Amino acid sequence: MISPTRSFPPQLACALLVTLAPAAVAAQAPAADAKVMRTVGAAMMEAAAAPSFQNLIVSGAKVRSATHRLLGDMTWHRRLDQAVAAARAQNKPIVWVQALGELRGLT
Amino acid sequence: MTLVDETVRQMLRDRFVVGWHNIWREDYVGQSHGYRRDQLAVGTTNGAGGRNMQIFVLAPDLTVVHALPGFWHPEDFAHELRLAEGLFSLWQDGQLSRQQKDDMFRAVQLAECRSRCEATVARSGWQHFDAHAERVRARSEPRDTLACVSLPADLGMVTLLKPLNVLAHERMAERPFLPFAEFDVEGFVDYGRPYYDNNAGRGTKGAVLPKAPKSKPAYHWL
Repeated sequence: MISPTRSFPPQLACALLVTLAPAAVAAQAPAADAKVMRTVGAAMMEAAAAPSFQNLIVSGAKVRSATHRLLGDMTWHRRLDQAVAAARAQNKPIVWVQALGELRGLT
Repeated sequence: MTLVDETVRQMLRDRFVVGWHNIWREDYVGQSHGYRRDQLAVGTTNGAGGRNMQIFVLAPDLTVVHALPGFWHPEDFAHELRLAEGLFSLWQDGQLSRQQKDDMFRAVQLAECRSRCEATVARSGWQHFDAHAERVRARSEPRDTLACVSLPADLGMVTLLKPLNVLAHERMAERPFLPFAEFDVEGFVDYGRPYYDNNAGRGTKGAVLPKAPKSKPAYHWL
């Protein structure tokens, strides 16, 4: 937890980090600053990696076909007690998805 | 698109028992206009929509061995499933005491905060409206969603939003092997904007929600 009084204008933080990153690299920042460099590195990675995921668009036909496979390939339990019985019998963990909507319909 | 990935689908089919529960009656869900299963799907960030979707990995005795809020990139989700299998084995271990199991659980969850690759961290950024709502909340109450990071050369500290994969693992570290019935879902998914309204600007009771910035900055999760 941190105190909200220590908050820092995010735009200024971004500007500072982006400005300081090259200089810090050039000066071979000490190990104590590795966390900052990692943060800056992650921010830069986001510019490349995250948008490619966020901009991913999958057609409705592909979604329908993939969902059909997901539904047909395994038994999706609707009741937890049934899932527990199956998990006990197979000694497997349960992946229990709680979601707003239906896997077979509107989600 | 978290569950329908080929690798994830095979893992779910071969190594897990799966179930689905509609949470539309729960108090903590956000609003949504709904998506059909034949509708266009778009990518998002890890942890996006945490109030509307939670994925639990449970032992057969209904102990929570792992939990994830929201949607996840398939690559990261497959990693989390492997981690959950390890935690399931830990829970089943007959040699370790409960205290030892809890300690190892916390250590594994916190190690995950540090060990994931940069691409995972990059995929775990905040949606801009969630980031904005979280910063607004942090002005009036202590939040575990932010971290103070020191800048080099004594330039002081900056407050940054933690990537959502880090936040999820930190929150899990505080919930070692809890019974499912005692798992505080509302607290676990309490981040960002409480209601998703497709930018209508109002919550469930008509309250005006804080507006997100018009332009989305390149480093919006910082």
